[in-house]
Amino acid sequence: MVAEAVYDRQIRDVVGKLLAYQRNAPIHIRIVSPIIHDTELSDGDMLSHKINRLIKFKDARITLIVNKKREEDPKEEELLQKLEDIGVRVHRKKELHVKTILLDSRRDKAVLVTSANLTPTGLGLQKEIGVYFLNQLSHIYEQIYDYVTHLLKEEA
Amino acid sequence: MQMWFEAFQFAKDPYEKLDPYKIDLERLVWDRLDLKKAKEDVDKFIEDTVGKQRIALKIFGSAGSGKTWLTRIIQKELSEKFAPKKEEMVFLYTKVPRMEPVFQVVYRIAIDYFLTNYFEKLSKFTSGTDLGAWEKVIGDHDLALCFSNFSSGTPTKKALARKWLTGDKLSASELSDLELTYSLDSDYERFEMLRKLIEKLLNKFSVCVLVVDELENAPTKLAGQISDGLRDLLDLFSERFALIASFTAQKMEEWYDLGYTEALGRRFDYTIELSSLDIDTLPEFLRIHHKAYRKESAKVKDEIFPFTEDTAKKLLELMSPQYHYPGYFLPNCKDIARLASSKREQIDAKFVEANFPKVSFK
Repeated sequence: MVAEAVYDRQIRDVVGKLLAYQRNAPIHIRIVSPIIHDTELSDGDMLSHKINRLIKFKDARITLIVNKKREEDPKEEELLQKLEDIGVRVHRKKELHVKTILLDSRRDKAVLVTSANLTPTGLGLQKEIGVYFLNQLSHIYEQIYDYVTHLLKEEA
Repeated sequence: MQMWFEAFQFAKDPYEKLDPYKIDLERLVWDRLDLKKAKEDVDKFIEDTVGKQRIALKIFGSAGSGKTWLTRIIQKELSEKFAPKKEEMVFLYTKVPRMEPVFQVVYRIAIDYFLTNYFEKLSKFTSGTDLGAWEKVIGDHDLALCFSNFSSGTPTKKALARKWLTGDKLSASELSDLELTYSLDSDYERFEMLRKLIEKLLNKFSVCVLVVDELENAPTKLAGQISDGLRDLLDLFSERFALIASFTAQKMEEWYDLGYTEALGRRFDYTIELSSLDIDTLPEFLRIHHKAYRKESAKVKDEIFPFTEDTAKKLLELMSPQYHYPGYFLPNCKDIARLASSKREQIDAKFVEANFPKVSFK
């Protein structure tokens, strides 16, 4: 059980840990990041590779919510297309500024709420902060889960 | 040659992993005594459908939890309810296939299901197989042309009529052979044809039930399109139309992760979750299931044979919780029962434990 504040590069470590989840299916991960770039995580592996492995070998269901405005960025669109092709459910929402990752499996419930986007600058260069709970504060987890469901329900 | 399951006095393999739509209706029985709330909702849904209301049911659960099985059970129970009234329903099954998750294929599966299972019944309403007779029955020139070619044409014309109705692109000469002027080559036209077909079928059948299975396979964009289409159908038919949508998920909220809309979600009258097998009702589950597959001449003291209450529970306990669903438990029963079939004896707990490493789902 974990409940901790994380800063700067520690956030990257937590993202890497969540995307390298090893327990068996069913695994459901919701990633909310207004901006997303393929980013090298702490173990040197790329974010898209980790997601691919989770889907391929763990049959994980991955939902990604990004800011609709980012449709103008061809590099980001290319990544989103690549992620959609491997089975990520990509949703584009207006006025999105939330950054969170929720992991839901039979054994574990984890949540990271952070100021950082999933980009090399967000996860490596800028000053960022976050909180991370693993199997702790379940009522807060549920509130965040419900909020993300609310985001998904909104018209794109 | 005797099959292994005959050693246990089964007429058919009770554990065979089959598409529920390929299982004989007589072998399909409600065996999930643990799902009391789900059964209540299924009963209400059936009652509303037989009462000719416009009604919608959403089913979700883990892989192997029996979602497709439940749609088939509903089909069976509806048929049984309509039969004494001398009424016919049309039950259209389709799914989003994992291999090719596009609307064209979803549409094609529905049309193929109709042609295979209901075209003959529809034909009984016609006085002949010519265009005029079909126009009287179906009330639409293009559909009448298609059905007339399908029922009375040469094998080539029959194949072309099927090709047209299932939404494949036809060449100009193929269209001319059918005397039709357009192909259903956009998803909009395919959806409109499905809507028209349901509307016309309701002139002859009492109720139409549309099942859309495996919704989890649709990419987000297709999920949005399917949502809009199904919402339109629910809004269009104010009575005699039932929709069943099923998807693999742990939580109902995953409906939105998959890309299905709130606008469609709001239109469902019932939501059923198929949860994991309950250990206390497991023996009864197995008894009911076995009974549907047992030989008529069988003489067994307890329908749970060749298992016992303890060995059935033991097997479930040894399995990882992620597999505590009929779609995994029954194949594991098969692995154990096959190994024990040469002895023809009741399976004991030691045998289950010793052979558990050999089962498919640990």
